[in-house]
Amino acid sequence: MGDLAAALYLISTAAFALIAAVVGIRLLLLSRKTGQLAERLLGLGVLLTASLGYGVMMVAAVGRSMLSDPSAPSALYTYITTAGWIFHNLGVMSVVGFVVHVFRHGVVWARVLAVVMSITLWAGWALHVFQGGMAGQLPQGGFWITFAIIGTYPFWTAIESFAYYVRMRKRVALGLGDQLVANRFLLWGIASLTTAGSIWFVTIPILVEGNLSQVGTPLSAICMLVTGVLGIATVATYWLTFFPPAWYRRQFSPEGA
Amino acid sequence: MANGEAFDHVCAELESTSSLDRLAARGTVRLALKGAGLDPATTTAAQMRVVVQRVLPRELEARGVSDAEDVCKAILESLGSLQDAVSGQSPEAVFARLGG
Repeated sequence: MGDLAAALYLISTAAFALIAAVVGIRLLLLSRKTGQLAERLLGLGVLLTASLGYGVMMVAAVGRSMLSDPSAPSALYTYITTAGWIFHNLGVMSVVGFVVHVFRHGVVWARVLAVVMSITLWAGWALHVFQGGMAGQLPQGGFWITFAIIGTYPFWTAIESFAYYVRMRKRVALGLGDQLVANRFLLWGIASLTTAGSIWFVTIPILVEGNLSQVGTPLSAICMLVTGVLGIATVATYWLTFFPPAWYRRQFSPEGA
Repeated sequence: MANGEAFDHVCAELESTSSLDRLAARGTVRLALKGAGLDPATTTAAQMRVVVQRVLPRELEARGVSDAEDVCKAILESLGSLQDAVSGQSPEAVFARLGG
């Protein structure tokens, strides 16, 4: 089961990083066309967290696990891990910026919260670096400070998306909104929840056993399996959100409804 | 029209054409907008027309305004001349663009 879970985890993470790259680049191209900040922030957020962040960190984790002694210091994988973390944290800031810009434009508490989250994220990460986190040392306080942000920011996105979905349903009922656009808020909320689920499940073995690479333990295998399934669900939801196929669009057209 | 101008306009008209005072008029319009999933600050004149036609009458009746239909007709006529500025910043506009 451990090997199957690890394989599914790796495949789903690779698919997640690949789809995220396609989505992120598409959104950045859209922002060039429209000149709007919203799609630029979201494009950077998706590209930096999911594609470059997780993708690069995954390369480092796999590479490190293939060394004869995975716990031995390796300058190469330390640099790669550091780059992955920097990409990821910048992406988190972009997604939070997207939420504030789109859902809480000009709202003071939201801006303050975004600043506090960014400072906490980087301060915790700096401590994690100081505690040897980039060199493969077991996570300590700095990691958990960082996780306080990484593990919660998708919930903010989800709450805003679901709340707006409820409002959009009321508008649609009065003929004031588009059903497909309303559904897009629901999808983005679901994608935020599955992202949060992936982040939490992949972290459970670190919390309980101290190291994700111990794939032989049943807990690690189960968590990897669940993380992999959630990763695939996230990818599928991204696709329906940003590249809705014709059959999906038809569900929300007047003829299909 | 944005930044609550349609909201302010309808509230002022409701106050002048019904028995409701300023506070009650604004509260009633707010409830009507909430029922339609809209925000007073961002509701456009076009959206407000639909709310005045389809949601506001029952809100007024619930508050004992006897001539609710006539009041809404008068407000609707006053909204006729108002124009909307195109906004690409609302969450709805942003999410409409995201899916291509």
